[in-house]
Amino acid sequence: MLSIYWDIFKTTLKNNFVKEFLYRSNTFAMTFADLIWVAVEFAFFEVIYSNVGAINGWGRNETFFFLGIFISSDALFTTLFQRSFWEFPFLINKGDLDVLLTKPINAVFLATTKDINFTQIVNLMLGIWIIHHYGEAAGFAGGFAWFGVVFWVIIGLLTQFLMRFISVVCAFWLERGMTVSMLYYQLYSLANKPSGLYPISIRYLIKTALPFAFMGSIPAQSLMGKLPLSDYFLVVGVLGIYAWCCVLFWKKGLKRYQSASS
Amino acid sequence: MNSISNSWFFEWRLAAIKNGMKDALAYRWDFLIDFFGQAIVPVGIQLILWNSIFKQNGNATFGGMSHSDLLAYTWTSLLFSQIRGGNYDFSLIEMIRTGSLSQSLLRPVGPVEFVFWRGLGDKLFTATFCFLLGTIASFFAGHSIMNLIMAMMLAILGNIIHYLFGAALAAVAFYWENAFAILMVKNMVVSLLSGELIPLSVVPEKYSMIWQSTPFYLYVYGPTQVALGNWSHATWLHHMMIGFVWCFAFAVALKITWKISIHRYQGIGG
Amino acid sequence: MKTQTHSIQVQNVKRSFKSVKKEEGWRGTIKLLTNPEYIVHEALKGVSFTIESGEFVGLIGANGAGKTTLLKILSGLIPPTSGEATVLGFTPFERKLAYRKQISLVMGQKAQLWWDLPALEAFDLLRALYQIPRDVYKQRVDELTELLDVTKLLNTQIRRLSLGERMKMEVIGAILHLPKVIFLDEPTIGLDVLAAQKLRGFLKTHNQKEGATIILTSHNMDDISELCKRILLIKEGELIYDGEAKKLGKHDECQMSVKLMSEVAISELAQVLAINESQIQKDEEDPTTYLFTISRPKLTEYFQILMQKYQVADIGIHEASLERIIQQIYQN
Repeated sequence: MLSIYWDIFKTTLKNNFVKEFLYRSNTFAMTFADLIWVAVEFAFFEVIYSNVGAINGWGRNETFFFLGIFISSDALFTTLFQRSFWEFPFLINKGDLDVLLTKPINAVFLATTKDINFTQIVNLMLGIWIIHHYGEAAGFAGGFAWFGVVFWVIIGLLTQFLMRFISVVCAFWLERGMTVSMLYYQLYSLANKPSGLYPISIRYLIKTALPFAFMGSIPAQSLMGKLPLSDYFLVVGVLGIYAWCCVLFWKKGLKRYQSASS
Repeated sequence: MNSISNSWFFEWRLAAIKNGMKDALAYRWDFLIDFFGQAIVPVGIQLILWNSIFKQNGNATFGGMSHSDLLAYTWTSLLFSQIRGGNYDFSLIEMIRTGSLSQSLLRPVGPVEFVFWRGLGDKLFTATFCFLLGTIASFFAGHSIMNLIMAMMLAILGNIIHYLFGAALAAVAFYWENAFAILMVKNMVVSLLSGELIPLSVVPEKYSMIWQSTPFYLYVYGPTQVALGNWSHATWLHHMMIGFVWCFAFAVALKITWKISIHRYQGIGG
Repeated sequence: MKTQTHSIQVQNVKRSFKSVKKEEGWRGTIKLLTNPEYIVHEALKGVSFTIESGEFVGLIGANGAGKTTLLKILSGLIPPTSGEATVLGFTPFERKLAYRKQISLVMGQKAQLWWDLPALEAFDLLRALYQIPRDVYKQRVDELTELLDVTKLLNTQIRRLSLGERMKMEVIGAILHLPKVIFLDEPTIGLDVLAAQKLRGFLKTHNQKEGATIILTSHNMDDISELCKRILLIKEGELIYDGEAKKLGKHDECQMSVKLMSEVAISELAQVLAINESQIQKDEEDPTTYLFTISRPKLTEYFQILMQKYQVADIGIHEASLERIIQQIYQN
């Protein structure tokens, strides 16, 4: 069973690879665009830290170390899923989900792995370089602790997958599912700043209901050895609840979709 | 004859705005979520950030600005950030990508301008709300009406520059399949260099050349400075002039890029 | 300005497209990056014709024959690679304002109306775009929606309409400004028999009443045979027939269906009558019925031979259908 899925994924991978090469100039431009995004993130904090010292324990090095982790996990998500999620609401609203539902393969798998974006691999490498570059100054041990980086980047990937999934299944209940995706990206600006910059209430929010902190702040704290034990349990708990909600929403939404379509 | 064409000049533009407005309001929930996301979230995050830097860190100033200065800046900038906020250029690339540009090309009005007016209608509610909120805030802050009007003129000029720039960039969609990345990055750069995220005056002196050499500061930072009374009339006039030059430059760029790239259009799919 | 009787003039129009060639495997993929190879596809290989104003012309051809490319050139969406096309005296690709006000393009597979708004809102915007006076506009909408039975649906969102209803709205939207030239690209695609019939009747009336020049592409031969006096047949980028639909087949050709008492091999029949095997077809439902495509003067002769050789149960003679004729042209 698993081999079928791997086979499908491999084919998708190959097709997308060919596509990137067919639109060469597009691919180069996208890579460049992605790099500008990183530059904008850095510029923002450069401005902030040229005016203040540390904010709640987050100094310049800690923040850039955080950015390295955030950029890596974001790049991984963007590579594997972002485009497919972008298309997802259209599948629902235009009724194209029908085609996927008739296939002998899990429809969610098909819908979320349709498109792969190779240009973000450059960002992933850049993110890892940033972690390496600012790690020591931020108190990151290096060596075997790199396994921790891998672990947390995957946690970040999983978190974003689950959050995006909830935001796209809203399309079952809305006429234009795109709006929730847009809202998600507005709220995403809660993810690209270290949690110390926020007041307690927001810090709590991004660890629970909107777990953006799992993509950068919490991993950075953990890797710098500053994460309290209770937060590890929180991560497991929140992701568990999120996964449960995803299944529930998908099932409910599907019911609605199938009864409403003509 | 003349009077007919004169009334047509306004009529189709108004009709396009109306159409865009109705489209935006077609679904209640979608509209409300959209509104919340665009109008409330960005400003909310900014206010939180300033609060952290001052209250929790105990700083007295940030880049020479006090907490109340920054709050005044944030509230006032809300007035203009929504005016610049149109993303109609995304509609253009979508039309090129899907081939629905075909119908627009054959209508008596140009697609670039049509999309602008229709997009304006889409944006009008959010912009009006923010405008009212900003006006009320300005009233309490005691800004002069004259300054507000002058600031608004600059912001509207900024809006036009922003669209001309975006539409000129959108022409890359004739060549590339996924041109939206370019527009996304443009928006990211703009959000930083327009003064929507942080007042540009806190940018260290050595980097100030960067924002001064783009027109983006005319969108939010410039108008906010005018409204707050930080810019004299002469400075305002100076920047209006700079704005007109940019406007002209992008209008020419738009004309050229579309003229060249339209030859690439193949009107995909039937 | 001289008076324009020719609505459309096309002279030696060619159009080619370039695309990247992808070879199999990873090596091919790498090659795309380093040294891509291009394939030039000639969609139109020098097409010429003229169309008088008020004509209703059918443009037919197999998929990929170049119909849509021609339609795009004529409407002004793409320029020809070489040659000259004029429509109403304009060069279409310049897309002059005066030109755009006089034409319309309907694509069966693409909507111009706005998905989330009712048709009436879209019509109102089109009214403003084309400067149609309000009273004229109102009267026209009433009349057209009445004719197509969609008056009650004017306030329903486009997305909530059925395909047939949506297409009717599209057509109304496209002719609200009474264009002098209308390009219809497969307007009846996906429609049921009744809806297609209704739309055809409507287009016919409109053409007669308003005298608009209409070019129609369709794979539905009922559309063509019912509406178009003249057809342009395109095959692999070349215009291979231009003339009356009726005369398309060899004029003296007809079809004879013969039911025999027992089954006979087609090769034997061909030998007996001394004709090509391709001129004989077996009825799919009845294996003892044969369809002969033959020239009319030879009819009696063949009939007599068959009567002598075999036991004939039934016989019928018909004109060759347009569909059959075109099928033959494609195959040869």
